[in-house]
Order: sequence, then C-alpha cells, then structure tokens
Amino acid sequence: MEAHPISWSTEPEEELFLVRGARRGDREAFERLYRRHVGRIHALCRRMTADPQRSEDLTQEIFLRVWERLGSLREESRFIPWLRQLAVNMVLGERRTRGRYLARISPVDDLSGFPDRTETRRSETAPDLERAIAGLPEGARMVFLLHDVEGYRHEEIARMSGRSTGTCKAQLHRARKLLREVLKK
Amino acid sequence: MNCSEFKNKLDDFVDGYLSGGDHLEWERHLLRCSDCREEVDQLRSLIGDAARLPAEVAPARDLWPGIAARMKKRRSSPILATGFSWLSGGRLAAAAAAAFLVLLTVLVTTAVLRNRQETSVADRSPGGGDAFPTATRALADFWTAEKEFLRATEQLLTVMEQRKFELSPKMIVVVEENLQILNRAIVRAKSALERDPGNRELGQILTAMYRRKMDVLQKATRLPAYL
Repeated sequence: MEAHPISWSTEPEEELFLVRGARRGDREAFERLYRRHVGRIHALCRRMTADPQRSEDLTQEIFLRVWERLGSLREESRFIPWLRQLAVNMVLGERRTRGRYLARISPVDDLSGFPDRTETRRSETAPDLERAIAGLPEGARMVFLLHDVEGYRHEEIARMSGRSTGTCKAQLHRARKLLREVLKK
Repeated sequence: MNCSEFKNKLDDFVDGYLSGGDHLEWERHLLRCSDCREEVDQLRSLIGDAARLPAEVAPARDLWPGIAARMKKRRSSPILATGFSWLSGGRLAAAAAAAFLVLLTVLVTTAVLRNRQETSVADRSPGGGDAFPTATRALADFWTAEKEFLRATEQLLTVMEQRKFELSPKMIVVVEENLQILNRAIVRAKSALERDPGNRELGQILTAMYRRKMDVLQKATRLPAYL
C-alpha cells in the first residue's frame, strides 16, 4: 500500500454505515474501517515509537481495542476523533508500561515504511525530517509529534501524558531546537 | 527587548500563544532584528514541514490476518462486550467481594471473642490452655474466606484492566499508586496477624484495608470513560 497524504476525514455517510455495522458485530464492516484508517494509525505509532516492530504490534492492539470498545462510543459520528484519541492513549500507555528506557539520540537507520523521495508529493524534506524526528529523545519526540504533527494543544498533551503544561512546552522547545540543528547539517 | 528575551518566547510567539500586547512587542523586535527574523523563519519552516508529513504510513505487511485471528478469540459483538464487562462481570464481582468482606469482619470478631473466652477458661483449668488455640482455628476460617474475597477482587481487577485505555493517564497513576500502597499494607498486616492471631485490632485493620481496596477497585471500574 503506497503512503500518500490523505485527509483524515473520509466520506462521512459511508463511515457511519461501517461504524454501525461494526458495532453490531459485522466483521467485514470492521475490516473496511481498518483498511480506511490503518495508514493513519500506523503513522502515529511508527513516529511515536520510532520502532517498526513495536509500531506494528501497537497498531494491531489498537484495532483490537477498537473492536472491543466500539460499544462504548457514544456518538457514531464521532468515530474518527474517538479512534484518534484511543490510539494516542494506547501509545502513551504502552510507553508507560514499558517503563524507563534510554532516549534515542542517534538517527534511525531503518526508514522502511517511510516514503522515499520519489513517492513524496508534498515535501521533499520528509525523509530527512522523519529520520530527525525518530532520532529525538523520546519525551521531546512525543510532544513534538502530538503538537506539531497531530495538532494537539499543550493543555491536551499535558492531560493525556500526565505531565505539566510547562514540561510539555519545554519538551517542544527542545525538540524543535534539536531538529533545526540536525536539519541544518 | 533583547534577542535573548525574544528567543525565550520564540515558540509561544510562533504558535500564537502570546497575548495581544506581548505579540505586538515581539513583532516590533522582529522589524529591527534580522537574526531573530531568521530564527522565526526557520521555526515556521520546520513547523510547516511537520504539518505536511504524510498523513498515512502503511505497515510493511498486512496486519489484518493477525487482528482477525485474535478477534475470533474474543467476544463477537462489541456492544455485548462492553455491556458484559461492568454490568455482569463487574457488578457480580463487586457483590461477591462485599459479601466476603462482611464474612471476614464477622470472623475476625468471632476469632477474637472466642480467643478471649477460651483463654480465660484455659487459665482457670488445671492443665492450662489448648495445644491448638481456638484463635488459630478461627484464623483458618478467616484465610478461607479471604481466598474467596481475593478471587472476587481479582475479577474487579480484570474489569479495571479492560478499561485502562479509556481512563485518563493521571487517573490510572492515582489508582495504581493507591493499590500498591494498600497491597503493601495488607501484606504487613497479614504477617502480623499470623504471628498474633488473637489480636482484634490487627484483624480490624486488615479488614479495613480490604474494604478500602475494594472501594478503590469499584470506583475505578465505574469511572466515566475519558474518551
């Protein structure tokens, strides 16, 4: 499956139809939902973990959790924000469960799964930026991705991660500074 | 304003978090300082590139077969799965735990009362006390009831685990810390009670801690979803 920029929103009526079917236990409907959103969820996991294996495992866990928890979705029209929030929560939860581990400070060599220059349509600097993001210390990477890529505000990131707003801002500042230094070279 | 002050709030300025008055002051500095203008341009360029990263990145392989296989092992309907976890499993577990907690309280009181009565009778008898004190036998009943209580609370723990990813991270930390503190205290109280089975206060402390643990678990399973 080629990776190319696609808006997060999909055809709302068909989405609603699939969500309703999946809630009733229709596995085919759920598979179609999976195929619609796996690229987006995997992108989040891949960037947050900077680890291909962990990101695949997490992606699977997220969709299994979606299947189990669809019944708790209060408004079917809110499926996409619900899915997105669940995915972010699970990525952050997985990080906490794994406990302390060393922040990665060296660039990632394995860029498989990230589009190469010939496939990138909008940004020719994407692979360099992907590599640089993957090389960030984990806390800084997390805040950068949630704020600058996913669009969350500091207060939301603080609430989701259990950190203070001040810490999140400091991490974002650090991430941006490191990225600018790395990308200048 | 100097460049150092400007750079301290560079991120807030670019992200639009500064108040109106501060923002104007930062804008005025930019008009005078080319270095800071360059910093702003670089930062905006980075943020722009980040926002334009591909929205989707496909996994290297199709993950669906693995997901489908694991779905078969779980409940067939998401609506049923959600309803089951608290309405049947959670509520029954809570009721069972509550019932055994009452039994534990009764057993503690009975064990201590028997111990006092039989100790005072034994003291008056020519041969002294029983070789196997009554309190020890009553304590055996206590541990049996405790096993059933722990089984019921395990079910509550399972319900809580299932809900973990829809609760707020801060709440999860609070609940887990509370449970760790309670578990440590329970272990210490149990050891002390085993060494001193007739000690009423210890028995009461232990049942109080069990009650507190059950309370924490019940509340955690009933917390509104964060999502």
